[in-house]
Amino acid sequence: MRVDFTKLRFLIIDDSQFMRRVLKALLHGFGAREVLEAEDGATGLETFMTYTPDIIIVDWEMPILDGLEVTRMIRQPTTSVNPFAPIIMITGHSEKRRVTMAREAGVNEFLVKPISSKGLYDRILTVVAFPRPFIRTKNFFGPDRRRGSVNNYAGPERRKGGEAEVIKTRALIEKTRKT
Amino acid sequence: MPLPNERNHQPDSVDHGTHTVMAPVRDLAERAMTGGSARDVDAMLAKAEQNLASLKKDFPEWMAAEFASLEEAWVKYKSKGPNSKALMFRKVHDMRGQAATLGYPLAGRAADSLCKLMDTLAAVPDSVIEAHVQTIRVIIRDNVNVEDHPVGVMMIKALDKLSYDLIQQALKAGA
Repeated sequence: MRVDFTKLRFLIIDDSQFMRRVLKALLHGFGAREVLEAEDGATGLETFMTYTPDIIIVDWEMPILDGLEVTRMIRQPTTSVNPFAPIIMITGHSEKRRVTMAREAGVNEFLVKPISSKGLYDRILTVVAFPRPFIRTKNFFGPDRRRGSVNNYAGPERRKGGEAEVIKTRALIEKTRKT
Repeated sequence: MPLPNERNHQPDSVDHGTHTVMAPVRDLAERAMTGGSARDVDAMLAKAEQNLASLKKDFPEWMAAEFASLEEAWVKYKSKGPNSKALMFRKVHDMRGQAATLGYPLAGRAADSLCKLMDTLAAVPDSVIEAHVQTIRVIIRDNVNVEDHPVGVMMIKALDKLSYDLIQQALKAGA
């Protein structure tokens, strides 16, 4: 099994034109035809709302809105056009604290630069072929931050605290069908 | 609460009281996963690498532009201009991430050292930032695009030690 990139629309949000060119070159090499780009977070968010890309690739450090802020806005279940859109964060930050921050914001996958074709392909494969459940608590909406079940977990329970709301999901493929 | 324009759709979720778990949205898998062997994937990766290689001739020029941008941020930072610290951090972060992708791994390591300092210390001495910026400048100017360049490695080790000592001092002082 492999990913058919011709069926996917990508959005790259990165303030560096050079990194956008590198990412575009890799995506086109994979076979992608639709690659949108934005040079800052605000433009990226606008492009997301207008063109509803399937997968968003976002840098962390950017002017106007940074990658975390963009992610939080995309994950707004009542206002976003697709709060379930897979988000891959590509950044120079590699510290565990930063990875945790990205997960808390609702990022699906985290890729530390330098970028390799395999690293990027693997992240895209993961979000396409192995999507995780989404979780909504009082303070969080995003992909499940637990990668596996731990039977003897004894730490604090983050999912406690507040009434949950039921979120209705609908597949993108259904959204594209004319009603 | 239903999503916009989805009020007639049945929820695909389980409410646990404190949290709601929604089944994975599998539309992308249904649409974009297709048959193919490991060889097909290897061919895709090779094509992507080939595309990347075709850009490599431009990398020295791109790095020079990235460094000019970093240097400009450094000048603003020294003059204590508005938002200059955030701008400087962003440019150092960019250099940290991009340098290795663009073929200058040691410049990336110098930027990594500075990024850690700026991320950890309340204030990094200007002389220490200057040492990092100058190291990046020399690496790019002399086109040091290998990871094991002896003089380059020596410079990076010196910066790493400088950073480590400063961070340890700050941690001891409770900064």
